[in-house]
Amino acid sequence: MFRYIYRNLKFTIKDLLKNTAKALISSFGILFLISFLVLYLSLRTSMKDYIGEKLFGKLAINEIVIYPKAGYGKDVYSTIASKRNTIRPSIVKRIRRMKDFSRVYSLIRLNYESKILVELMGRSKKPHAPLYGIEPGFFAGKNRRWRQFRTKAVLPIIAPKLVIKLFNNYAAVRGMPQFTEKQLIGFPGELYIKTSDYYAEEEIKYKFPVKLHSLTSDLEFSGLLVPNDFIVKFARKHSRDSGKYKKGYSYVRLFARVKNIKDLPAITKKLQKMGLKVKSQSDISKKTNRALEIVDSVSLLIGSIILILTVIAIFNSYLIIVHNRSYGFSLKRVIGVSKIRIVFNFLIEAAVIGVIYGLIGFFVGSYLTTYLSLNLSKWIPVLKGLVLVPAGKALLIKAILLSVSVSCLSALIPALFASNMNLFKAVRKMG
Amino acid sequence: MLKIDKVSISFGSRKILDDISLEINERSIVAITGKSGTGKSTLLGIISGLMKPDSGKVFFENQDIYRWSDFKRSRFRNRKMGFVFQFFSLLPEVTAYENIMYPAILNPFTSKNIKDEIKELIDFLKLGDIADQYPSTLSGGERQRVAIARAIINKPRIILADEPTGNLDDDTTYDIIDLFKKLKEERGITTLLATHEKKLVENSDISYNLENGALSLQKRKKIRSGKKSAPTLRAVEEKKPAKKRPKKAKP
Ligand SMILES: Nc1ncnc2c1ncn2[C@@H]1O[C@H](COP(=O)(O)OP(=O)(O)O)[C@@H](O)[C@H]1O
Ligand SMILES: [Mg+2]
Repeated sequence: MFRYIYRNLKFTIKDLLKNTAKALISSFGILFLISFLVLYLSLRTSMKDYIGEKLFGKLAINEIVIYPKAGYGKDVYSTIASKRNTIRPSIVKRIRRMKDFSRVYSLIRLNYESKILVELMGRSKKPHAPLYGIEPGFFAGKNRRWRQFRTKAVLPIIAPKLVIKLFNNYAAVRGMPQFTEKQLIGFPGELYIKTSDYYAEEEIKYKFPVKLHSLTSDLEFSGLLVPNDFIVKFARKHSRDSGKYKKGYSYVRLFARVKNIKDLPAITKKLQKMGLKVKSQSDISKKTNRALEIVDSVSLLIGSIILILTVIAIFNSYLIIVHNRSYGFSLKRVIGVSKIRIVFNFLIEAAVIGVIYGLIGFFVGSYLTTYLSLNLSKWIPVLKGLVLVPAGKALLIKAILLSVSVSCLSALIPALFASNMNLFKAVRKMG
Repeated sequence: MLKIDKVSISFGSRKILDDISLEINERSIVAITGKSGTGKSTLLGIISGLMKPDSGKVFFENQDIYRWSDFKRSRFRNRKMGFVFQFFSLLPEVTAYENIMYPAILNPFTSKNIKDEIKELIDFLKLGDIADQYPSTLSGGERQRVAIARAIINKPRIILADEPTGNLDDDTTYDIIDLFKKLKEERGITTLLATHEKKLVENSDISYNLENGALSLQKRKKIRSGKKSAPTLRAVEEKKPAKKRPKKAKP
C-alpha cells in the first residue's frame, strides 16, 4: 500500500510539473485579481483608521464624550466662557452622580491667556497655548507613562501630535534633521499665564517650568494638557487677580465610561435633555461606515468586473487545455483512472496555480500599496496624512485562499469535461 | 467470463446496436467484423464500461458492471482489461517504459518486483532496445507492441483490441497475431478484436459479423455449428480452431 501511494504521488507530481508551467500562462489573470484585492484591503483598512482617527478620534465601545451645546464646533475653544461652549459645574456634578457611569473624566480649560516659551535651535518662540487640564487617570491604559503625569515642580505637559509637525517644519526650513516623537519627550519650556485683566494698569504674570511628557492624538485641539489639579488650584489661588471679572476655569467636555452598553441609547437621551451633545463609538462608526460604504461599493464594482473577467479567462483557457489534453485524459480513463481522480488531479493543478499566483499577486499588491502610499498625497493633496499600511500576513493567507478558490472554481467545469471523456470518442476524432 | 445481454444503443435517431447478446469465454480469440461505422468500437466501449448502453446489461463474472460505481469500474478496467487501439494510443510525453508502467502505478496490488516483471515483458515482446525512447520515435509495430505490453502489465483477463493492426503492414500484422495467440496459450488471456482485417479473422477462434445493429456468427468451413442465435464459444472450443497460417505471409 505504501509503495502504491508513493508511486502515485511521484507520478502525480511529475504530471503536475509538466502541466503547471503551461497552465500558469493561461491563468495569468488571477494575478490582477489578487493584487487588486491586496491593494483594496490595505486601502480600506488605512481609510478606516484614517477616517476613524483623524475625523472622530479614538473611542472604546463603552466610552462616550459629552460636549456642551455648541457641540464640537469652533467656539468650544473660545476662552470666553458661555453657556453654549461650556458645561455648567452643576451639571457636571449631576453627571458624576449618575449611576450609569463607572468613571467620568473632565476636561477643563483655564480661562486665562497662556503662552509657552521654547528654545528651538538657538531661537526662542513664544506662541499662545490655551491650557487644558484632565485627570491623569484618563491616560491609564492609553499611555504607559501616565503615572508621571502629575503636578510637580517641573510641570509635565501633553501636546497634540501635530506639534511634531510644527517642530519638523521648523527643522526642515533650517535644514535640520527631522525629529521623532521619542526625541521630543522631555523637551523643556516655560509656561506663562497672565491673570490680569486686559484693561488693568499692572500686568500680573506667572511663570512655570515645564517639560513635554508625551504627545497625544486623543484630543483633537491645539492646546496643552496639564494635570487638572494644577488648573483647579491655580484658578482658586488667583481668582481675584482679574478684579471683578472672575474667570477661573470651565468644563469643556466629559469623558465617561458607561457601565452597561445596552443603556447607551437611554443615557444619550437623558444627556441630550440636559442640553448636551454626546458622541459615542456607534455614531463614529456610523459616519466611518458611510464613508467606507462608498469605498466599498466602488471597489466591489471594480473587483467584480476583474473577478468575472478572470474567471471567464481562466475557464476559457482551461477548456482549451482540456481540449488539447483530451487525448491524454481519455486514454487515462481507459487505462483505469477514475473520474474522481481526473477531477481531483485537475483541481490540484488549479490549486497549485492558485497558490503561485496568490503569492505573486500578494507581493505585487503590497508593492503597489507601498508605491501608492508614497505618492498618493502628491497626486491628491487632500489625502495627506493617509498612511497606507502594506498588507500583513493574515492578508497573505486570505489572498492565497481566494486565488486558490478562484482557480479551482474556474477549473471545475473543465475538469468535469475532462473526466467524462473516453478514448472511444477521442479515437474517432483522430480517425 | 464476459456476457453481453440484449444491449442496445442509439445515437440520435440512429440505432447502432440493436438488442445484441454475446458471450465470451476464457482462453479464446474472438473477432467482430463489420464495415466501418457499423458500431464495433461502440460495442467495445460498452464492454469496457465507458459507455452505458440505452438498454441491456454487461456482465463480468456474473456481475453487472454498470451497477458498479465509476470508481469500481475504473479499477476493474485497470486490473481485468487491457486495451489496444488502431492508433496505438500511447501517452506521448513519457517513454515507452513509463507507458508500460502506467497501469501498474494505478494498481494497488502491483507487486514489489514490478520492475523485473516489466523487464520480463520487454524481453517477451522484444522491446529491449526501445524501452527508453519516446513513442514518437518508434515504428508502428513497435508502438503496438508497447501498447500490448501496457495492456497486459496488470495481468488482465481480457484484451479489447480495436483495429489493432489497422495501421500496420502485413509482416507486423502477423507478429501481432502471433502475440495474441501466444498470450492466449501462455497466459490464458482472452482477446476481443474489432477488425475488418481478414488475417485476424482467420486466426480467431470465433468471429461475428456486425451489420445493421445485429451480430451474426460467421460461418467458416471448419466450424460446423448450427447455432446462429445466441452463439457461444463453447461449441467452438471443443473443435480445434482455424487452419495454420503460414509464417510471414507473402506481401
Ligand atoms: N458518441 C457518439 N455520438 C454520436 N454518434 C456516434 C457516437 N459514437 C459513435 N457514433 C456513431 O455510431 C456509428 C458507429 O461508430 P463506431 O462504433 O465507431 O463504428 P466502427 O468502430 O464499427 O467503425 C458511427 O456512425 C458513428 O458516427
Ligand atoms: Mg471503430
